[in-house]
Amino acid sequence: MNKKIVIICLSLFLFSMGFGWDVTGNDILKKVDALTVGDEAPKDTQMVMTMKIVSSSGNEKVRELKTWTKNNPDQDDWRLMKFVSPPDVRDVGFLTLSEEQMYLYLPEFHRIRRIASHNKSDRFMGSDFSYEDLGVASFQKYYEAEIMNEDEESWILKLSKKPGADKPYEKIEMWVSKESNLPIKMKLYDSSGELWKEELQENKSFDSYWIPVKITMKNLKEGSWTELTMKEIQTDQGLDSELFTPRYLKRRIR
Amino acid sequence: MLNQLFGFIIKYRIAVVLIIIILTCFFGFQMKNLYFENQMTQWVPEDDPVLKLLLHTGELFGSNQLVLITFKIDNKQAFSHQTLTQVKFLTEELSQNDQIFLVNSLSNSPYITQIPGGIEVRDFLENIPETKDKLAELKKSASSKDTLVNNVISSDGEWLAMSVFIDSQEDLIEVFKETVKPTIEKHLDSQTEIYYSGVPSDAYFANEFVSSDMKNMIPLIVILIITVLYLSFRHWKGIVFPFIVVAIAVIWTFGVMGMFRSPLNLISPAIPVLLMALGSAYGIHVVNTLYSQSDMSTQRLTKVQSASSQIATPVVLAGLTTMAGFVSFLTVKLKIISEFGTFSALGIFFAVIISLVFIPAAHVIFKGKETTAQKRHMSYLTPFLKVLLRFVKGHKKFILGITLVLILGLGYGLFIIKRQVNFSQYYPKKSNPRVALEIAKEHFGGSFPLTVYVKGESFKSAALLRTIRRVSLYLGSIPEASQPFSLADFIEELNFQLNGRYHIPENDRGVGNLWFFLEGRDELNQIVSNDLTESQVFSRVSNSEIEYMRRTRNKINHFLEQEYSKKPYMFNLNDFNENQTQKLRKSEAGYILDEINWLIQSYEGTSLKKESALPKFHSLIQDFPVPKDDDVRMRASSEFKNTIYSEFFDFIISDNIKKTLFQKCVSSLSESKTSVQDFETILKQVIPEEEYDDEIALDVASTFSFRVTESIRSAFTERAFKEISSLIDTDLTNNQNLSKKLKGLLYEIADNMVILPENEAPFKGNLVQISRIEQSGHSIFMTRLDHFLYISQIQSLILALVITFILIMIMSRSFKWGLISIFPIGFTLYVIYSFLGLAGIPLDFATIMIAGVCIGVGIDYVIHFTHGIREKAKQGYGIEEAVQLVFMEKGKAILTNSLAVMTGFVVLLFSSMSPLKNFGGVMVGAMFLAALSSLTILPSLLLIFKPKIGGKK
Repeated sequence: MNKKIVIICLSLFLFSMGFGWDVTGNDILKKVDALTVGDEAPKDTQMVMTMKIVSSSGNEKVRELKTWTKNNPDQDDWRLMKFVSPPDVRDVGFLTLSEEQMYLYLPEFHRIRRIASHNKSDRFMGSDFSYEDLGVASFQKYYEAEIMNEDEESWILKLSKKPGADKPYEKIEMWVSKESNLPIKMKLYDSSGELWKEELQENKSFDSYWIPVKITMKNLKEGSWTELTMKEIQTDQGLDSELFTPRYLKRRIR
Repeated sequence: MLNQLFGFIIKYRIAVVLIIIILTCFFGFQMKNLYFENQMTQWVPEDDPVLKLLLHTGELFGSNQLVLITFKIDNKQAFSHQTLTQVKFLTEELSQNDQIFLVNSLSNSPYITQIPGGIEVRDFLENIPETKDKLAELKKSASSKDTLVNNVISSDGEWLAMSVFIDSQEDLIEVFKETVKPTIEKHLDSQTEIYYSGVPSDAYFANEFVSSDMKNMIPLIVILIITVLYLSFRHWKGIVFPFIVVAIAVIWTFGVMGMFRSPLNLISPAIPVLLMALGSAYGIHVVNTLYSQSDMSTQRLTKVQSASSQIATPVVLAGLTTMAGFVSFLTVKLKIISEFGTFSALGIFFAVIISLVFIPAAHVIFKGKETTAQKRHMSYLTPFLKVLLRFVKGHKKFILGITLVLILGLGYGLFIIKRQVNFSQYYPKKSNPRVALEIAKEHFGGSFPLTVYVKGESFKSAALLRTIRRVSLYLGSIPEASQPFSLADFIEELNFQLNGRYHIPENDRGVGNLWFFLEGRDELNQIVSNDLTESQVFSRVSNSEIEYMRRTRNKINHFLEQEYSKKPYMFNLNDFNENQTQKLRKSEAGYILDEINWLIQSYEGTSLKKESALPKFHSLIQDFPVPKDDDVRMRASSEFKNTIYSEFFDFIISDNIKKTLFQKCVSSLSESKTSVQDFETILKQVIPEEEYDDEIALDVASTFSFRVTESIRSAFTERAFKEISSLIDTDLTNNQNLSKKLKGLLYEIADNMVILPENEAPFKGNLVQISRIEQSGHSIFMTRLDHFLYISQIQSLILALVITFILIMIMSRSFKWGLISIFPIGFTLYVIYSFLGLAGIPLDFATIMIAGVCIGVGIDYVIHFTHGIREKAKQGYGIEEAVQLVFMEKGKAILTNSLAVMTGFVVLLFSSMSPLKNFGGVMVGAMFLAALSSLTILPSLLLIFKPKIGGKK
């Protein structure tokens, strides 16, 4: 118990050192960005993701995919996804180099196709995550943050969309863990100000990083929810840039 | 007994009147619970299988809750930046609303298009251009899309449409009224012509019309009732008492409706009209009798008591027979009619009770001079009755002769009676829903969903998708169904954009790969269930005439029966030898030829003759393309080139090696060495050792081999298309949409999946799992409603006649009297129904009640007359004298009553909805005819057949 308190106090101390004493909402958001897409994020990540989609009527679909991500601090991150199951999508590959540069490999037709950017609020593979939710974009670029409240474990931020920002959420309430400096809960509001989705995030420390290991997204309007579980996480493996090319996209999962 | 009862009422008159006032206040308070409900799905028995499927598909796919909104911009610039932006905002706002299941407009229609090196699936109006040229380009693009034209944009580009599907859990009318309509009108310019059609809007407009009719008709009813009463009595009590009786009966009836949460509907306005027309008669009778007995003597109370007991029996009897007419509605399966019957009967019951309780009590409480009233009571009718009596006596055989001639002459009308259960036909001609119907019909193929529901194992199955595509193509070929679309269309379009072939892949993995693009698209909700085991082919029926819908239903049912009474088999040609493969492909060609013909018909072309097309297909299958054929070589070579020279080619090799590899691959075609192993051997020979990798080589070799297979199939497709082109109009082969779909079907003959019905399959195959395939949607539901209407009519008619016949038999204790008495009313009904047929007035939710009401009211006249005859017989009169005396005595009452009732029904002519208008008009005629036949046919029958009365003949 004492050890836990010491750790919390220490991390609070270190965190406050980073910000100075007058910590603001935007400072916290900046830190979140740095840890997820910035220079404090892992250089690359490799993991197996299980996606469980539960419809409002209780129907359950499970998908498994392998992902490789390369963090490019000065440009868009690269991400390669390969479906492992269900069998009819095994080896389907999805490569994102930027919002405009996405490739899809359909093994059944032996073809790579470039696909244009999706509607950002479209559901990703029928889940409750939109392409936007799974994107790896900076919050700070599109939202102004202010601290609404704080307790021992987290800050509660209110993120308001910046004028002209092309984002589906008008407002976000974000609980940022004081321990990991990553979001642990988000309430996402639609353009009419109505609560739309609720996201819960579990983060774990791997090597020197905090990484989300479970994200649950509830669509409050439709009553469906999706759970993303991350396992076999590896960071900073020095993934080759060749991995993020359409040529590699065609490779089957061994 | 009766005397004692009235003694009690008169003794406690103030308490009686107070109790009635309190009860009226109570029921009046209950009226606050009244509400409208004009949803037809509520009118059919809940266990009806057609309704059950309709509600099930409605819940799954939202298709029952469709509101089709059509709009036209005043300056005809539908494709302006401003209008398109409005449509986009509107679509977004409605889509975000929790009460809305799905919105489909030009803005969010799925637009699958090719981009350099790839494909894009997006909403059609993701970016709205601003320049004129770009807008014109966009319009051209929209007009060339089969999926958009006549669906979200009219073929002339002037009308736009938006389909809004309301969530099935919501109150459809409320959501339409509070959300859909205001949102549409908020976003679109005020000069925009906006029309709404579909079940929710129809129900909303019906409520609006009925509620406004109720408001407008009540003052009219009041004026008319006062006029009739004034003409009858010319005294305040004579006007006020029967008026109060009717008013209280109406309040009590609607109060009970409110108390039991029974909704008001399309035909509810007829209830106060009926109560006014019929209920006032009881009041008139009671007041009449009290007047005739009253004076200012000290025995006044006793006289009122005895007069009341005297009038009670005929009033109760008249009430009972009228109620019998309404009770006949209770047995029908249409809730709207049975509820109407219940509440009308209850209203009559209230009117009888209130007349007998309130009027005597109030009469004693409010004293006054009334002796002069009766004198003038309808005395002007006497000369007319005298003339009529003379005519009847002198021409009894002639009257019966004319009756017979009318029966023979008008009979034809009975066979041509139309039925109309569709709301859309009920509205005034220029009203919004009626115009909307015409626009939907003319520009968007109608607004009434017509669907075919299919339940199977999984709709990611290629075999099942080919099966529903077959249904979709059939629907497209019949003019009654417009714009059919199914899951198969999405998969085929995606396949076309990705692989250049508009067909369903030959296996489930192929479908699974394409599905990647569809996951998460809202449009899927409209055609496939979440667990992928239920799907529907969605179409719309363009004409709302019930006859048309019935024909459509029969046609589709016949098709489904023919197609699916045989089990469909699926074959994978990899499992068969060459001979068997050829046999299967030849059978498949015949099966697919049906689909080719349906497709050609949907583009208004003449279908191919099987005897000329099939031999051509068979000969092409006989000489199936092989790798060394020129057309195959050309295609395969081009594919090799694209693969080997692509920047993403798996092996990083020099141009020289690429060239060698390409040449070796092409040579393999001439030697027909195109298996995966053959290409692996080539790769091993050509790729430098340091670059070579077994696993990559296997992938590349299988890609090469796959491309050769594709080239063979494409060559077959082109050959078959060329053969077909010689058999159909050039215009059609030049139609890009048609040719891409035709080629897709032809490609399926060449691929490895074969679907055949068991009777056409040369061998037993794997069963395609279809556990249910059935027609559903609004149009089939309409035909079901129509069926119930028809059954209800027959049922209520027979029941009413039987009840009445039995009542009269009991009263007269004679079968002959029963027959004679029922004849005039039977004749009235016969003429009225023949008239309906000849005049083209359809049987609908209101006109169906003609028989019941007519019998209930008309039989009173017969009862009055025959009762009078028997009374006279008791006094010793013979039949001829009795007829003469009763004719003059009762004739006045019959005419007065029929005039009052007719006046009541005249009010319904002011209704906005055609069923009530027709009902009112026809009932005026029916009441006139009922009175006339009671005063002509009935006495003629009595004078000719001279039935026994009280022992005399």
